[in-house]
Amino acid sequence: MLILRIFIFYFLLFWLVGFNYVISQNKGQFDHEISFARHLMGRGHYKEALFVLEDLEPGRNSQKDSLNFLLGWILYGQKDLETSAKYLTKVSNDSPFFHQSLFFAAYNHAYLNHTNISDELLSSFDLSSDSRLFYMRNFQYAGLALLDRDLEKFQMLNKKLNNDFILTQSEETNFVSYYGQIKNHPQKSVYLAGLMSMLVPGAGKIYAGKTSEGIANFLYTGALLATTYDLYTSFGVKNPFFIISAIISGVFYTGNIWGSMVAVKRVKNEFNDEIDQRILLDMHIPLRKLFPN
Amino acid sequence: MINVFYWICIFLCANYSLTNVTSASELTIFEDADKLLEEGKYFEAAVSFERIYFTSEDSQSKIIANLKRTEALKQLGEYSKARNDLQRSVHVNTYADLHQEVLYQMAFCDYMDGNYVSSRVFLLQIEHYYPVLRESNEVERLLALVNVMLGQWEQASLHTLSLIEKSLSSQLLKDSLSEETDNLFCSCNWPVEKSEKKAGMLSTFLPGTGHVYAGYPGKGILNAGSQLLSLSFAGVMMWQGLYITGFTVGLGLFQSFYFGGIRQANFLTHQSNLVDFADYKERLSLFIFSIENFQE
Repeated sequence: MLILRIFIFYFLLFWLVGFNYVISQNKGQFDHEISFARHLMGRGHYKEALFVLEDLEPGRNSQKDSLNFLLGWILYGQKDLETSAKYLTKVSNDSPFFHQSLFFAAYNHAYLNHTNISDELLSSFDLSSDSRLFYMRNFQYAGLALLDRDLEKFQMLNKKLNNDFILTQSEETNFVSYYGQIKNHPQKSVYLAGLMSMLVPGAGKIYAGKTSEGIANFLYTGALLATTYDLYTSFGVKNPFFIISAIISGVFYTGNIWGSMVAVKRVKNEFNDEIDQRILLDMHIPLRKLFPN
Repeated sequence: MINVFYWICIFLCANYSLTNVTSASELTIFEDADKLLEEGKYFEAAVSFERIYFTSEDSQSKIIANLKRTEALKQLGEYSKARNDLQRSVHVNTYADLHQEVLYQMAFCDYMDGNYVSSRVFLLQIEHYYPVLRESNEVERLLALVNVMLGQWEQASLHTLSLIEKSLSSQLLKDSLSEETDNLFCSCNWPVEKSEKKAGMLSTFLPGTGHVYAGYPGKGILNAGSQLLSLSFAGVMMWQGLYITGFTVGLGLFQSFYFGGIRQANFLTHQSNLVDFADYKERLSLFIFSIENFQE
């Protein structure tokens, strides 16, 4: 009987030790691979880090969070923002990486012009317990309002930003400057540009803000029209040289009108793209300061 | 008492097996990585060697893993990455054999990546720290090649002659190749850098001559002809009383061909210089590569 008890005791002891050993080995292996992937990321070897992480099979939720965060972070580093946001939004709110994931997923969507998704993500969690995160969220909201060109909303949000948070101080000033630039940016008419170029070739382009292009347009369209007139006065309407010259001049004259109309749109798009890039950069810098790793 | 005996047994047994597993797993990982390299799975091998570098606490193993990773990365053509990774081991000079190999591989990767000055810096370090390795054919060849790429023709010639001397045994072959080296590296064969400014000036005062100077006489004749034609057209039109047409079309075309010709002469001279130097460097490099084949 005593031998049986001793046997059962040691059997249970071995089982317990063995089980714990296997569990700790798996955990150790997972943590080791995560550290290795981080090491590769630190050296900028994102492709290799992805290769390492692809083979990992997380067990516990915390492991899943670590894996999703790292995958999202690597893809963010590789500028695959859509997929990065997908992984980052999978990180649960128990994870220490949750807030970083949330803000960067929102930023990725903002960069991809999905400002509504970005807004939804930021507003889906209560951050009032942490004043820094709360302030950062308002700052991001302000950036999103500018990206949406919702100037009233920006004014409202800007009142909540008091310019005393060191991480966003200079960017807040920039936001106010962008607000002014957007508000004061002249709304030029496509039709007026066309009409101006119809009257004086190249004038529409100058009106659109492309002065050098306008002068060049004026010179070559003017030269062609003058040549056509010269041929008309010397040889008359039926002369083939006049006909060829008139056709070429007509094409260039029409092209100059159409080009002026397009130039207005082009200048508007250039302005919007440039402002958007600056806003996104200013939304990004404080995030990197708040979450340096 | 029996229980204590069992505990001691368990402890020793566990300790022994753990130690054994660790060293065995390290050995297995090295073997696995080597196998991947042999099988041509270079990317996987590079990751495996980096894992060894990351895991190992022994500096020697780290350097070996780093060097083997370099082999895999070289096969992938990622010389810049290999060089940056090797940088981690370049300051560890405890193991002379490994250190000189690291220096050589850095010089090699820099050469392959087009950083010839940096490559020469590592070769100079080899020369200073490891004179025995400096005498090897590999280092001599690399020195010759780096000097060729840097346009140091005389230095390159000396290293090439030294390589011939070291790598060949037949005196007849040595003499023949040395003579060929002297011919190839002769200052009469050096490419001459043409002046872009001179080409531009020539085309300014005599259209087409800048192109001829750059080595493109056909294009020069075409450009000069175009200018002559457009000027003639302007003259004929004005003679006919079509002053506006003569001015806008004739002179408009002429100024395009004239100023375009000057710009083209500059561009062609620049291109010609690039081509001449690249051709000469290629000829020399091919010759240097071929030296050791003569032995076979």
